[in-house]
Amino acid sequence: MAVLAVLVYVASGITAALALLYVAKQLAADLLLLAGPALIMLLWLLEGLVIAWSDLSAGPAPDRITLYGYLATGFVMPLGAAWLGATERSRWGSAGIAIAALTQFVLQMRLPQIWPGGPL
Amino acid sequence: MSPTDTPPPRPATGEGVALPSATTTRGDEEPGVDPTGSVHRRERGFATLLIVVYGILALAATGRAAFELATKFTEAPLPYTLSVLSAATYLLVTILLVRRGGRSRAALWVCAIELAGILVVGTLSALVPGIFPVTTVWSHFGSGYGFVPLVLPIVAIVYLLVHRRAEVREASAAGTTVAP
Repeated sequence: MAVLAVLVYVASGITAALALLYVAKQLAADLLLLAGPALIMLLWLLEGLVIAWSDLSAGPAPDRITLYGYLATGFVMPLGAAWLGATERSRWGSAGIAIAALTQFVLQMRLPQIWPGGPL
Repeated sequence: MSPTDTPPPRPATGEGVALPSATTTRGDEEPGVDPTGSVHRRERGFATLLIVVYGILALAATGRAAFELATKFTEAPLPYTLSVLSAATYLLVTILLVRRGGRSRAALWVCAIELAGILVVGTLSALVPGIFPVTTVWSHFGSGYGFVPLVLPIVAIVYLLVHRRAEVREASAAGTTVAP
């Protein structure tokens, strides 16, 4: 649903801004910042479930392999960024989270192009 | 030669994965080298960014290559072979940077091959358009990915060279050699 898309935009935007703040202040990622990628993962998973449900029940998606590959990528990326943020105890870990959050924003923008007329 | 001449060992940063609060660091200073020559586990520093971007490209390129291999390989074998090659290099560099960090000579070589690849493919796609009936990650110098595939290996090579030179200098000051 469009609500989930907006939530992903908001979550990734806030995470990116917070992460950039951490980079500027030379802070390593703490639980507050790590909650960002965790939230993004959760929202993206929900989106994926909605899309899969719509794919199976309503019309088939036009490009399933690309679509599900995309969804999988969008799920693994914040996971990897969170892991790096947790293990790299410096501002570079936060920078990694910033980059992943910004990329997630772009991924969300690209999603409607992969399935135009889909649930999002 | 006396122990007081060498900087004290860097205290361990953080225990395991638990991280209850933000840790203020003084940027990415190098840890001390103790007289026995062992280097304390150093933070990755800038290499973290390389790992993130290479990781993202690895995800994207692998997904794309797998899709093309599974469905359309016979249509355009050359570009799809390039897709597999590019995905493999991104995966390899990501793993090398994670496992061995900025001192990895293997990562330097793979990045050099990757840079050569994108320069060749980019030039060919610009001069001989018919040679690649479909676009690949390296077509037109990675323009489909915001030219990140072009800039990234350059940045990575510069970083790896500088880091390796710094480490050689540091190791020779401590009287040891750097492992390849």
